[in-house]
Amino acid sequence: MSDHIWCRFLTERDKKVFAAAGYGVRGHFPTRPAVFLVDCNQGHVSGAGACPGASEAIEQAARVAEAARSRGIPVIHATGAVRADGWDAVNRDGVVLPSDPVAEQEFASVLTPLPRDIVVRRHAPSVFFETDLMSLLNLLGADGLVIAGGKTAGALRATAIDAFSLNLRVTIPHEACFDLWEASHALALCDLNAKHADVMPCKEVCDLLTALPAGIFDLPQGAPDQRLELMPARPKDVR
Amino acid sequence: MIWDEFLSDADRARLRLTGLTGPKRPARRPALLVIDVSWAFAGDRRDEDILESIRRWPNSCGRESWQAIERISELVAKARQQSMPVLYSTGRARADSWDIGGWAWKNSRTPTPMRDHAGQPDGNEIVPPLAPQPEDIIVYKRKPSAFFGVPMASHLRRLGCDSVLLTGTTTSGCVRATAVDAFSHGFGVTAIADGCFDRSQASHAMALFDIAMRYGTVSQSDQSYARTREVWSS
Repeated sequence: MSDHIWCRFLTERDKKVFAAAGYGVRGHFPTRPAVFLVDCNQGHVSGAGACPGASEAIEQAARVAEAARSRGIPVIHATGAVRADGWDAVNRDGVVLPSDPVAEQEFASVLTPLPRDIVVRRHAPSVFFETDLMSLLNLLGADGLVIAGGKTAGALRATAIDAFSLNLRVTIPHEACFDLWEASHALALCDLNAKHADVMPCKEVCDLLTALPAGIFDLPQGAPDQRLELMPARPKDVR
Repeated sequence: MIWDEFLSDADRARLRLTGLTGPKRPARRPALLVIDVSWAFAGDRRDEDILESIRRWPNSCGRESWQAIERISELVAKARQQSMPVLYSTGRARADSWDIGGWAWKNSRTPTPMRDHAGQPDGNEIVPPLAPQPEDIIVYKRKPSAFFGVPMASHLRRLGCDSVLLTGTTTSGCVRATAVDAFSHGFGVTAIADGCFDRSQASHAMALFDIAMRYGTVSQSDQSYARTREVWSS
């Protein structure tokens, strides 16, 4: 494991212990994966909440999405659901609440959801927490997720852990993930690869996706994404 | 702090600007959670080096386990004096291991039967210094989080708790996953650094950092006594 990005963050003892405990072997790529893009948002690319490396990672995530679409594999986008006044904002990935939380959670332009994509909005670190994501995966008959986006040690890791707990198979293309903290990013990928997911290069993930037979999913016919209005409109003045 | 030596230079520079950003909610009615402190994770010989211990117990965290267990014992005793609820989690699996699911996918030594060495105790048994008492609450889980698939959130609400003090193992696995779910359920989170242990030194440190940055606060066991005394006796 000497070539992994997390190696420089581990102690010598850690490397021996991971190997001796048997962790980190390659698991299984899902036979029916959904590509799952967590918080590939404009707010991570630019502005007060910008995250180093997010722009490049989101471009890599777009390549994975493109590979999936070429075989009719579902692409699911997750972002925060938030009222315009921010009362219910998921601001807990270490980012100060932005002045315009709704704009902050808009999708990055390279990953604007296409009509056949699926959009889920979250209120907690894990996209599974109090959402109907699992119901949608059952509707698709998916047996695993390819998860990209960020933050690696925040929403992405929490979602991957829940996917693992649900006995879904998880693959993570590491160049398509981003986090504010280099050490958190590296150790999240290390821990996930040890126990819960297969962490591998983007190109390998794209190759595995394009090697799947085309058209195995019954995808939506296509509809524009509709963001729900979470805050009642201010009542018109009544005289 | 414990994570300083594991951060990159860029991380250290950023940390000087941000400070620790995890939510610091007042803990008026905390519960003490003891996550997975079983033979499987602690090993059965207190002073054994981790690389020796994992020959018999693949998940063992070595002698750091037993240092933390001393701290947890002290915290449990204090909690009981103050009638603070103590909740334990430990693992469960069928004897044929069918239900371990994903745990078998990423580890070359899984499923190792829990009793693969004659005379070894059941790996999921909570170690005797922390043996739960009749008034304590235990959840038996199959997955990392002590909230996943078990009524932990219901129990905490029934007890009127607003927060959790987290101890146990592994810091980066089950303790961290429990911290994330406690946060999502709206409970305040305090991880007790010297009451948590992990087989990986870097994972331990960075899990505590992530909790302090995102989900709550990180404290030491001696600081936690004082706070809990104020809380439950008032």
